[in-house]
Amino acid sequence: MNMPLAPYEVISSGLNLFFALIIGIAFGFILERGGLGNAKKLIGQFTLTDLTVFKVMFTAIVTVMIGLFFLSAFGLANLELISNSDTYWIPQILGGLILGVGFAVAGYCPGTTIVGMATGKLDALASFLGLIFGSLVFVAIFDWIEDFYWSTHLKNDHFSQVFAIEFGTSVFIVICIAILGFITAEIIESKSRGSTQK
Amino acid sequence: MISKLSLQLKVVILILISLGIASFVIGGKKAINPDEASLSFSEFDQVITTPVETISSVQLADYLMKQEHHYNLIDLQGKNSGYQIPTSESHSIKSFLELKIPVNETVFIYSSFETEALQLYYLLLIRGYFKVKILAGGIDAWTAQILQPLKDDIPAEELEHRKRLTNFFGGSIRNESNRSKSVSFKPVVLEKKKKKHQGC
Repeated sequence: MNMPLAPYEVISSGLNLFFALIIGIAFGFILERGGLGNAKKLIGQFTLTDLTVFKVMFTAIVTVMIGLFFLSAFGLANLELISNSDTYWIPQILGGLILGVGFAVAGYCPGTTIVGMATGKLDALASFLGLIFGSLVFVAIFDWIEDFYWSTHLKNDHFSQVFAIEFGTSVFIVICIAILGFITAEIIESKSRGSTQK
Repeated sequence: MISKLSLQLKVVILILISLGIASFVIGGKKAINPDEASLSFSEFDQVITTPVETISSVQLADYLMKQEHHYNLIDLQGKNSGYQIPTSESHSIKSFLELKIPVNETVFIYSSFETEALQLYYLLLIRGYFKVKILAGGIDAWTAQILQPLKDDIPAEELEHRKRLTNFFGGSIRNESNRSKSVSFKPVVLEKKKKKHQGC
């Protein structure tokens, strides 16, 4: 077992950052090719006319989950060494709502803002400036909200830990949810296309 | 309804169902169970015959003084020990193993004698920890080199550095005249560097 590579010191943290940069550029390229650098396409998520964002993001989540599960199951990766943010459920729900409002207003989420900027879109640049401003405001008021920020911490924050089920079972459940989600998205999109044609 | 789905989506669903069933069957069992010894004799021999990683008292004192990295300094002296190195945590071998800290954490171990430290050292190594060192000479070496070093034993070019370390940890350098005297030292409180909070 020697994955993840950086925590096991197979590669240096500098090389790890370099790989992250390459993967980030590749991810951004794929998002752009998938049309996610365009605010009109992204806003279709909220008007239920184009659910590409949902499908792309859920595919990414499911792909990583399945990959990590099998790497762990065959003893190639130690999941305990993969860092992930802890769950602080009330602050994170509020943060999600704020991000959602920003997404709906601007037509971009933070990642797609960069993708949009890379193709020279001015609305993406405006969203990026808003993102920087929002981040600065967050830093400025952090001392006042710090207690709230660290509140409602869930110690067992993995899906399988919360529901006391095996990791493989939780993978199976998330896959079932993904399949239902993909089918539902197709139905919603086809109905939306049908009503537009009428 | 299924017949109306695109061919691409049908293929994706088929692949996902196959992987989902495989995941369900594997469940929580791992091909390699970390709680079961899975070393062969040759791997075990390799662990035991590899030279033991040690850290000298001076190196450890420098490391603690700088506080640049997160670490675990484990004191195995037992409950009746008088002095503990600042930022160390008192544990028994069993209680430390039960903590199950991540295998990539830095662990320094010391005890009254090196025996207990070596026991924990090997137990950690066969569990996959790879940044483990024992304090060479145990707590006696720390006392002799950091808390109450003898001036004549310190090379001249090292004297300033060693004075800084000794003062920092509340000790004092002894001369030949007071070699046999027991010198008292002030306990120091050192704030340990917190573990970096990682995540996206």
